[in-house]
Amino acid sequence: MSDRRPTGALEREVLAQLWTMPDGGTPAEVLAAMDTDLAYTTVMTILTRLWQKGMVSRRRRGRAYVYTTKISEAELAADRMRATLDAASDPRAALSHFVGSLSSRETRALRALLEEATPRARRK
Amino acid sequence: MLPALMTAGAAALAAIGSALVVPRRLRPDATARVTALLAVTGASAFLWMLVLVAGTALAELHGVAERIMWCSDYIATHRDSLTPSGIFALGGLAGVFVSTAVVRRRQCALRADPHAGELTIVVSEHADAFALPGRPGEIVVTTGMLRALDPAERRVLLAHEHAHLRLGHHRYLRATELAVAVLPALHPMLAKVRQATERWADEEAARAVGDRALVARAIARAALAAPASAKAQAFTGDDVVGRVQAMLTEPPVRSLAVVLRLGVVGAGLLASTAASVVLVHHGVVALLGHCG
Repeated sequence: MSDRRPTGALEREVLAQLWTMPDGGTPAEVLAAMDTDLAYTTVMTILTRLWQKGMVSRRRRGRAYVYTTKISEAELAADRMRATLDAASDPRAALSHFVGSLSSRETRALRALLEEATPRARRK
Repeated sequence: MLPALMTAGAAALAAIGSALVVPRRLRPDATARVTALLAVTGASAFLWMLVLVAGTALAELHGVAERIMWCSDYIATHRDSLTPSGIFALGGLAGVFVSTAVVRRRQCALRADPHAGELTIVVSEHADAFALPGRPGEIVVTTGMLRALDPAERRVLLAHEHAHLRLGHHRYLRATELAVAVLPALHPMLAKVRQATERWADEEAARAVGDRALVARAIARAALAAPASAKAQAFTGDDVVGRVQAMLTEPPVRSLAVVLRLGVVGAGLLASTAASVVLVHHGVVALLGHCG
């Protein structure tokens, strides 16, 4: 099923993964960190495509490329986002955020639910 | 005049009343659609009432009444000044005009940059994620949020935000926001539509990753990572705990009770729409009908 994920979704996943790796990574390292059933060549192709689009940078290390994110562009994006959000009187109310903020009662309830939703083997 | 007010009131009440009985166990996509439709119907009934009352009050004015030849028979009273209800309706229309303009302006500001990629990462410790509508739209995620989730949970987050964009959830929210700008009494329906679109995107994400418990975990972990704020949560209308619980139970199904309540909602919607139509008809007749 993962193999049939659309390219856009895969690009987003790989880009998001790279952002959690401060020193960047080779396709093999990205694949290992992603905890996924994707093929090595798929990850390599996606990283190359992201690089061609100018969304990541890369440099050679031995026989492989190390891909890294572009911090400067993310900082530009942060400025742009701040301007966008300032335009809305209350961006929390106007936009669909993934999650809102919690009351302390909700926090307790969520912690309990998280225990329930996390299989023992995977719990960190 | 009085019948117009009563009809509009009945239409708006029918819309609000039906929204109250929209079943909780209804599939979220249906909830979002039905509730947004009810809000728009209720608001348009109210708007027609304002137009009708204001229009009649203006048409009765000395100087105006003589010019509108085609209805001078019907509008027999000629007045020198506006009736109190006419003033109220004109004030209401001005209020509606201003508040919808404000809402539209804000909605237009919150659009994706057409040159941005589909995923924008913002460097910030503040864990947050949202989707900006547009073509193709933009998913915005902070580095703080990315770090709070494991790779599988990030897949859920991206699938959820992508579902908002792909299914155009902002249209339901925007339509309801405009309805609330017209008739502020509809405000609870905005929270309901917001909640339903979040649940809808959760169900889509569950379908994409094929694991409901994983979606529950991703929502819970993201919410615990987002900073607590006493102020905002009252009206974000997203019941995170409810969303997590819904993901830990089986997907919503059609039951007899749900179908029955939907019947009631449908009747309310029909009544609200019918009342709107009666209002429009009434207005047209008042201005044209007796002019032979």
